[in-house]
Amino acid sequence: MEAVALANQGRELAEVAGSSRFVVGLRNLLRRPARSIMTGAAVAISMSLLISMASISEGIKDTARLGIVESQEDLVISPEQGARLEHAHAMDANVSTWPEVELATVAAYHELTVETPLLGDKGVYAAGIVPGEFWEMAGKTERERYKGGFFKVPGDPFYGNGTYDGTFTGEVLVSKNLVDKYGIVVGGELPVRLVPGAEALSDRMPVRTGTRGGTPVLLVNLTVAGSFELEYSGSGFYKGLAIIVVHLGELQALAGMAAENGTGGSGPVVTDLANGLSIALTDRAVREGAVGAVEDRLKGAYPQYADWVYTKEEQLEQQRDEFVVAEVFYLAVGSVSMLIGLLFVATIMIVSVMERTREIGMMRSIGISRWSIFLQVFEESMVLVLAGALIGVLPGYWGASWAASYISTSVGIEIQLGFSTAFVSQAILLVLAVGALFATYPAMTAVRMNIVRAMTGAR
Amino acid sequence: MGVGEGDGLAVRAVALTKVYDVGETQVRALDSVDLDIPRGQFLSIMGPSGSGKSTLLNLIGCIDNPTSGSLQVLGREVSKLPERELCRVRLKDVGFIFQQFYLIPTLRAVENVELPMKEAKVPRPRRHGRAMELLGMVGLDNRMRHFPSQLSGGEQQRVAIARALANEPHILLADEPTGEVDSHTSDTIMDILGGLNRERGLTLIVVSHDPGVAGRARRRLRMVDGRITADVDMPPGKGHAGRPPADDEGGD
Repeated sequence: MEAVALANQGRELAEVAGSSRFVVGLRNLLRRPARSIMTGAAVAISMSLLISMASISEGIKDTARLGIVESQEDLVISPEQGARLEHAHAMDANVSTWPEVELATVAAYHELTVETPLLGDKGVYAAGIVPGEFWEMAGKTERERYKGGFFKVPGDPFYGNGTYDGTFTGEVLVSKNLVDKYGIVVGGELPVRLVPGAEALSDRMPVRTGTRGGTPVLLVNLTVAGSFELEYSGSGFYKGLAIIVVHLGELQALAGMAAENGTGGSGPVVTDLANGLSIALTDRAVREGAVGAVEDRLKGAYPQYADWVYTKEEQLEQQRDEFVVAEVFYLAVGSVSMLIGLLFVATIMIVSVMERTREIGMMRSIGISRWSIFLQVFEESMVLVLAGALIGVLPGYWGASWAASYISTSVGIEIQLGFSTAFVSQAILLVLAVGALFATYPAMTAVRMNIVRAMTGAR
Repeated sequence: MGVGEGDGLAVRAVALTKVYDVGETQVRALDSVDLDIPRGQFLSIMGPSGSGKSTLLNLIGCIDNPTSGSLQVLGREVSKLPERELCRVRLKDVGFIFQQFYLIPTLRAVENVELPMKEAKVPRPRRHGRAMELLGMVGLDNRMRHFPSQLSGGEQQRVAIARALANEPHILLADEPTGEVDSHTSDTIMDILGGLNRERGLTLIVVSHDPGVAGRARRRLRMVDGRITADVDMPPGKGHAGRPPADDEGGD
């Protein structure tokens, strides 16, 4: 009944507007209102999927990009997989004294095993940072991820005076999913297992002995200082579902990155391993274009790491490469959906043309040109495409918002949706452009008809 | 036949032939037809089904191409014209009326009549005025805004006549124009067509199975197997446009 009412409304509208080709097209579509509505709905669904997918893809990319853009990092040393920086604290201290450098900080990563209250042992990806420096280096978006609590102690006291014998704070931040799924409580304790080979500094940490499967293990109870939202990464779906963050020196000690047994029985040798050095330059240095000069100096001072020095632009470029796969995936899903919707329009319009062969034959016989008939059928297809595309915008926004919300609540990644007027306009234009290609076929089918055969109903 | 001899002729066909391929066999729908139709003549074509009368009408109406032979419409050779030119002939020079009316169901009566004028790029106020005038002429002043589905068969055929006259053609072709209406309506339609022939000098070519309809024509052709087997010119006053037929010459 609603379809009939809609058809009547459409007819009234057409009556007011006169007999332009558009209005005639509208009337033709309203001959079979249910079919036209369903075809428009198919385009709307495909449009909404396209918008959702593209919006999430853009959102993920932008969210990750924002982290780099907003960050104070002007230069980084980021060793390739498996490689590490040695004497990282000393390097940090040295670079920090350079006049162009505002701030430098090092960070390390290692896999650890923690004992969770609900699900027992859990392998986690642990990051070691110097909290105060890290906080200053981070941008607004990065900082917002830590609204669930941050370190109480700003520096890296365990490393103290250049050796690992200072205060062991035991502070740890855990990713939100560890709180949600593994029952880890902010303010509670989180036992973490020493990595085999890390025993050298065990007497300087509050180590206790436990057993797992009958085998003795060394454990340190960390105190959960807060939780944080996960960061999106293009390498894999997201970089590790379970992440903890501790003070740099403490991670080094727990993971065996602080010392190795030296040769000749001379006792522990400090190696101070890390996975990256971030450098923020002074505003003046950036203004005066000193990034290149500092980069050269860095490469000169640490030639062994020269291949791993990157500027902000190079980082963004790397990130773009990382996100290509994810982007292609999302856009492929959206595009396939769009193509199916438009194929549906083309098919329905061919059926419509076949149903109207006599009418089209008659039009030709009274002198209506092929071009006019082409335009008539083409416009009818485009009305469906345009209507579907416009209707699909809102569900597309809802879909993208729902997906972003789902990702946020399920894995703790906040995504800023890439949804804007320009974005929606581009999506509509894309659908119209591809729709125009699809609309050509039924229109060509209409004009190719032989007049006499068409008028006798032959196809 | 020299150039200029066709002046004064609406149609001249010389050895006009149309062969259709039906599967692996060839059907000779029109077999070397010679025919001159002077301007302003009312001519009827009768004959059994498959005799070639509609094929002849289609060729004169430029909606089909002859296989061989020559066909001049209003002095212009149309057998080799490209589609664009043929389209122009159909639009401007020839009006077509069909048995099934073939109105566009989504257009109102007045819009159906405006359609060929719109294609001919006649300005909207002018074409609207002319469409109303034509509909008035066929007695549909009060049915202009009706859709075809809201009109009777006779009314639809009258709209079709108005549409055929929209661009002021010189030739009006009617293929079984009364085939789907009752006898009273048939008379009305033929009165209108006869009047157009008499009063406007329109060349009128009517294909019909109905002896009553064909008998109104001044000249009557009979076709069998793609050939003209009889070509009778009736004297004025007998079988003249607007008068019922006096003889029983007719189709099957």
